Parts: sequence; structure tokens; C-alpha cells
Amino acid sequence: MIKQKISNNSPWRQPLAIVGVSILFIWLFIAIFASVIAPHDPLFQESDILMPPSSLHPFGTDEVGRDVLSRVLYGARITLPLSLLLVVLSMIVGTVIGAIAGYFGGWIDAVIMRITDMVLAFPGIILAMAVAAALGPQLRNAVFAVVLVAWPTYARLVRGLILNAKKSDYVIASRLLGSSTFRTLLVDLRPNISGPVFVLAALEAGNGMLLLSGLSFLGLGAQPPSAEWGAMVSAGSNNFDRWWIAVFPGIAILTAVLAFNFLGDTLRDALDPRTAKALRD
Amino acid sequence: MTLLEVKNLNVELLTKGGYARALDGINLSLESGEILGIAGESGSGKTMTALTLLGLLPNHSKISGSLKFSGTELVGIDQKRMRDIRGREISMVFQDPMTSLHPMLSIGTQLTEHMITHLGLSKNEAREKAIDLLTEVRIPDPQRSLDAVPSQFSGGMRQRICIAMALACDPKLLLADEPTTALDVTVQAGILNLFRRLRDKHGLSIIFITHDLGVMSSLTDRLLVMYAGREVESGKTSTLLQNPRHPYTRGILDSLPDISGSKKKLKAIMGFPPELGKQPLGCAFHNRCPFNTPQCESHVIPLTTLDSHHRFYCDIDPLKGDS
Amino acid sequence: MILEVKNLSVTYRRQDGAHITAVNSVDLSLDRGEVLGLVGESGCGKSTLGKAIMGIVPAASGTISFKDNFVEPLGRGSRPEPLRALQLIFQDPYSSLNPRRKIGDQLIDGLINQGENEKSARQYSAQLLERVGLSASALEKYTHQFSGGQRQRIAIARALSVKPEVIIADEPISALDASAQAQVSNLLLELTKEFNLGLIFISHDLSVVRQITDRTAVMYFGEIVEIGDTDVIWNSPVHPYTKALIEAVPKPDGKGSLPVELSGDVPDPRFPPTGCRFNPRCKFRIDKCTSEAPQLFSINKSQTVSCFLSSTSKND
Repeated sequence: MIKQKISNNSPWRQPLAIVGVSILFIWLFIAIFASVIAPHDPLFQESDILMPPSSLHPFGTDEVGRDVLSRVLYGARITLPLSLLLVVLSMIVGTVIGAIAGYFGGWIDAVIMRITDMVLAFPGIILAMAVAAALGPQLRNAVFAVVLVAWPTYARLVRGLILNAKKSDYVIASRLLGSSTFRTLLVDLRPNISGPVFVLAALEAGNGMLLLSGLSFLGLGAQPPSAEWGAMVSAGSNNFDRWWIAVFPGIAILTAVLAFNFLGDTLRDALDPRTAKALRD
Repeated sequence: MTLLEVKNLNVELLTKGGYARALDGINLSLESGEILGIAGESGSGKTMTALTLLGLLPNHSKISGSLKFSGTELVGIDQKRMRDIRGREISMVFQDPMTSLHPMLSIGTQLTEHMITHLGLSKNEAREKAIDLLTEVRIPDPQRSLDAVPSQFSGGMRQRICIAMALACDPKLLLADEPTTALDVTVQAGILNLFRRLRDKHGLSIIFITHDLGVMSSLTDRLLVMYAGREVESGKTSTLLQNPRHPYTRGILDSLPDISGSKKKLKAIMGFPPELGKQPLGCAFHNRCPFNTPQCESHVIPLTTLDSHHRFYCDIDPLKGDS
Repeated sequence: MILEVKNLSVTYRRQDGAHITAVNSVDLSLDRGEVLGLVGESGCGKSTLGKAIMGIVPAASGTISFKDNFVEPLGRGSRPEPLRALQLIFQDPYSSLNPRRKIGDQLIDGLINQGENEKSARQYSAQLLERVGLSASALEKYTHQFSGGQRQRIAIARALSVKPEVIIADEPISALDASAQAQVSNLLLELTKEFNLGLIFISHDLSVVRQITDRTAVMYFGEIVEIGDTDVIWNSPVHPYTKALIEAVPKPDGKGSLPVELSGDVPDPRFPPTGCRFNPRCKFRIDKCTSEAPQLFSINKSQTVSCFLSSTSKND
């Protein structure tokens, strides 16, 4: 994806980058080996409900007696892949739409840009709620709703990049050599937009995850008994005095979102060394 | 009177690979009222020489040698004193007038600002003087032009305005770095005439930097040809151009299209100049020189002086014979 | 005749809403193996004319025929195959090559578009790179690893890849160092002979045009004011503008004579002068010049001029 020699002064060697990448790797490890690490079955209901943290249940148990630690660990299997999925989906949708708008211009551009304006004018969570509610409370629909809210950011970025690049001499030169519209988009413009789009994707991954967890928290995403972090926080909010039920999945969300943001910042620095250096010096 | 005396000036710049020598033993002198041309391709050190005179070298640069400007030693001078000299006694005109003009401020504001801070003139006095300056550089309708912004002028007019700004504090020395390179020949002709007039009328000393030997020939009194941070040849412009002695000077003169000749290929100098900091002990031009001998690269080339005005760094025989 | 431009005009709307005529009914023709120089001050429309011939900017009126085809503006579809033999070298070799693609990938574009397979396209590109004086290893490098002169050679190799018959070079050397200027103009001149190309060399550097072209066209304010054999034009220019241009070139003869100044600026394109466009700056202006526009007129076999002075001298 990104060929970058990692030198001593590389953005990848900065502390935030190391922290971000490490956290993501830890969560990735947890997601893969959840069944080995987790002390209990995340869905098994014990008779000890609402137990505070103890040596048997380090994160305590929830209102139906499930082990919170195991649920948090298993939750990585739901939240992380879904976050990735929705980032990839919104990136693809947004990039394609933005590229079409930027390259063809004219009325196509005008129509697409008005739609993005409309979507961006709504607060993301409200629009996502409306869509998720309309489609029915299901995890799949929640992902769809988040994608619907997230794509315009990519579309605007890509459109701007293409508008700049398509007037450049090298694109004209390529057209003069007989390259088709599609080939210029694919071959000449893609390398110029892929970097910024990946950066945006990494920065947006955290946002997407928050939105998704938010929808689950509101009961519009993951449904019981699945161990989704947002839904777990939501369940915890019904038992305010039993802090452990909501706090541990909350910390899980916090660390994952932070890690994504650190990764995005690092990627931006790596791809745009000038601003990054100015910031560090 | 000698206005500027540069002796054995060396400048080293800090690059990724350590210090690299950008100027190597430069000697030059300038009388008041004289126009000196510094010629060379990019990377030859001609712009670096100007920046050194202005005290505008990048941070961490090492400078040695002597640089006497109207009796003051500029090497090692403190920053505050240098700023004074730079604003009042030495000024500079750049290649692209838009980089030295503020696009949103009126010409009048930009012209008078200097005079108010540096010369302590009142606003009205400064405005009067600005009108005089614009008349001097032949801007039509100077009164009204004071209220215009740079974008309302053509490229040639903007360069004239930059020259007016450079003259605002009556400097003794004007440095002009490729001031006509971006302009059309017709406009260039006007600017060259303007420089000559300023010298003739006010006795202004000018260092004119360009790679265009045609421009050098028409404007300058003396010429210094630089290559890879060193002097290769210097002398009176007329003798130097009519009787060039260094193979590099000959090479660039031969590579110029001949406006009176008929269709033929240009004689290009092949190859590229050495990178900054990779100059050999001997002649830096050796790898592109048609008269190259094995010694050229390895031994220090002695200076050959023909008369008090014409000298060059080359000691191979084929040149001494034919001239 | 391989390229023929008839009555070509280009107009555009500036950002302030003013309609500007950048090129005004220009006729031009070019043979195989011929080098035509196009000179004039900046803003005279020479670059726009070049781009209009290429089909990059649309023509307001007139026709451009290249071989048996009319040049059509670049649209959404691919450029018709016969027109691909008409190629452009851009002024700025920094912007005309994609900084994020390997040189090799950019050089094979044209051949891939013609259905060539990638391997043979790469081999041919390597040959072309060597022909323009670079090593074939450049295929695997990116543009930032090359100097301006080397990039311009790469751009020339790219244009050559589709076996062009006419190349328009738009100020191809003005962004380069002095020594690279001579090298690149020589290269273009050699290639026109080797491939029997027609070359239109657009430049504001009159001495280079003087030296490498067969014919010269002088443009002023969107119009051709004088055109003919380079030797004739430069040795006995007739149009006062051509004379002024030649007199303004400083000569490196060490004689210290200043070039002659041409007073005044190119007029505001929104308010073109009546009569001859050059009359406000002309030293030889007569009454007729302000009221009537002169037409291009052959004063001898190899020289065509639009100036009343030339026709009166002929009538005498």
C-alpha cells in the first residue's frame, strides 16, 4: 500500500505512532484469540448477577450474570471488523462518487455536490439514527446507516483532488496519447488521490466506530445478547451504581478510537513529510 | 573609489551530507558607479554571492575571508548593523517581481513604508519622493499609480516598481538577480536601459547577475564568470567576450544561438556541473572540457593574469597559443 | 502539407466576464520535416494557438486539418487514433510528468492505448530513452530524480512513443538552464530530421528560433503579422514589430550597445486598438493605420506581411 522507508526520523518512530500501532495490534490479537484468552463464555449466564470485580470475574458480571471481561474481549470480534468494513465501504462509495463528480464536472458534479452538502448539513448521529430506525434495529442496518453518513467526506476530498489533478499538464499529455477517461482516472489520478484517502480513512475509522457504538448504545445497532461494546455501555447505563458494566467496554472503545486517530495522524505525517517535520521541529 | 572589496571569500552550507562548499575563494572588487556582471548557470554560486553580500545566508553557514563594503567589514558583523546596511546601503531586485511585492497593498504604501521607517520622512515627504521614484523608473501617471495594487501592472511595470522600491533609500549598491529573465525581450530592453540610466545619472553601483551573456554584453562594464562556486574568468566585459580564454566561457559563448547566423545546430556543452560539495581539487569543469588533461582534475589551477583586468583559471597550452 | 490551419480563432471568457479574442483568424501550414518558429511577446496568443491546434482549447471558428482529419477538441472519449500522431511538448517539464508514477509507466501509456503489449512497449520506451540521451534505467525511476533538462528529454521520449508526425513544442526550453537549452533544442532538431517530423517551435527566445527554424511566424495580439523563410525574415524584416523584436535582442558581442527599447505595452485585450493592432506602439504609423486593419500580403515569394508600409512600397 504505502512504500515508505522507515528511517530514524520517520513518523512511524514517533511515540504516538508506536502507541497507536501497538494498541491496534493488541486488539487484533485479542479479536483473533478471544476464545483462548477469555476466561468464560461471553453468553453464559451465571447465577451471580451484578457481581463487582473479583478474582473470578476481574471485570465483574452484568445484569444477567455474564462475565464482563469475556464480553469485552469477544466484543473486539464484532466491533473491530465492523469498523473496518464500514471504513472500507464508505471509502469506496465516497471515492467513486467523488471521482465521478470531479472528473466529469458540469451538472453531474452539481447534483452530487448538493447531495453531499445535504448529508453533511445533518449532525451525523441524527441522520444515522433516522436511517437505522427506518431500516429496523439490526447491526447490518447500523453499518449501512454509518456508511450513508460517512461517504460525503471522502467524496469531497476526492473531488477536490481530482479537480486539481485533471487540469494538470500530465493528465492532458496522457489524454493526447489516447488514454481513455477511465484509464486516466485509474492510472494517472489514482496514485495522486490514494495517499490522502488512506489518511482520511484512518482518521475516520475512529469516528465510524464511535457512530456505530453510538447506534448500538441507542438500541439501533447490535441486539442482545451479542457482545458489542456500544450495546454493553448501553446496558451498563441502566445500572448506574454498577460502574463496571459500562466502564470496561467504554475503555475498550476509547482505546480503539484513540489508536485509530494516532494511526491516521502518523499516516498523514508519513505521506506529507513537510508539514509533519514543521510540526515536530 | 572602491565601494566593495571581496577577498578570498569562502562559504560553506550545511546540507544533509555535512558541510558543502558553495563559494570557493571568490575575489572581486567594485568601484562606485561601476556595473559588474556575475555570469554562470544555476548552482554556479552567483546567487549565493549576492546573498552573502546581503548577509542573508541560511542558518549554520560558515563564512570566511573578507568582505569590505565602503570601509566596513561585513564578515562577522552583528545582525542589527547588517540589517541597517541591507535596508539603506545595499538593496536587491529579484527575478520575480511578484515575490517582492505584496499583492494586496497599494504601490504607494509599499514604497513609502521603507522611507518612513529608514529615512524618517513624514508621510507627505515620502509620498512626494515616491512620485519622483516612479517617474524615475518611467511608470506612466505616477500619481495615480501610487494607489494601484501590483496586479494592475504588467510584468515589466512591476519590475520597474521593484526597482523603484530598491532605490527608495538611495542605496550605494544595487544587487539585481536575473531581473529580466522572466520578461520578454522588448520589455527587457527597457529595463536594461533603465539600469544604465540609473548608473549614468546617479553613479549607482550595480552587481547584475544573469546567465544571459547578451544582457551582460550590453549592460556591464566588467564581468565575472563563475562555475561550481568558483571564479573561472573575469575581466572587462568587452575584452572577455571578444577574447574569452577559459574553455567554459568559450563553451557558453559558442552554445549561444547566433542571431546573425543561418540555420545550424547549437554547440551545446555536454554533461552537467558537479554537485554542491563535490568539486575536485583542480578544475571543476574538467569533465566537460574539450581540452581536458589528466592533471586538470588533480592539481590546483594557478591564476593566469593577462593584464590588471583580465584573468582566468586555466593553464592548458592549446588556449595560450590561439587567442 | 501535413498540417493546415485555416482562419482559426480562439475566444474565451475571462474570470471578470470579459470576452477575449486570444487568437484571431490565423492561417498556418506545415510540411513534413519542416521547423516552424512561432514568436511574439507573452500574451500574444502563441501558446493558445499551439493548444488550439492540439485540440486542448476549443476553437471559436476555423479548421485545423492534420493529414486527412480535422482536429477535434479533447472530449470525454479517447482521442481518435489518427490524431495521436500530433503531439505536444509542454513548457514546464515539472508539471507535464506525473510525479507519482514511474517514468516507465508513463512512457508506455501511448503504446498500451494502441493495443501494444506491455513488454514490447517497455522495450521500445527503453530505446527511446536512450535515443534522447538517458539511460534505460530511468524507466524504474520517478521524475524527482531528474533535472529539468532530463525531464524535458523524458517528455520528448513520451511524445515520440506514439510515432508522431507533427510535434508542437510550447516554449520547450524556457524553463531550462542555459546549457540544457542548447542540448534540448538540438535534440528536437535532430529528431525532426530522423523521423521526418513537422515541428512547431513556440518560443520567446528569438535567437534560438533564428537558429533552428526553417520558417518563422511573428505573432502580435492574436494575429500573425509576418511570416516567411527564417533567413529572409531575420535579415530583412518588414513589419515594424518584427524589427522591434529583433532590435531588442541583446547581442553577446562585447560591444556594449544597449538593445533598442520598444515603448508601450501590449494593449488591453478588452479594448483592442482600431485599425492595425500595433499602431499605438509603431514608430512608422500613418493615418491609415488607425482607421483600417492591414491584411496579410505576400511581398515576395518567401515573405508575407500585414503592414500598409509593405504594400505601399510594393505599389511604388
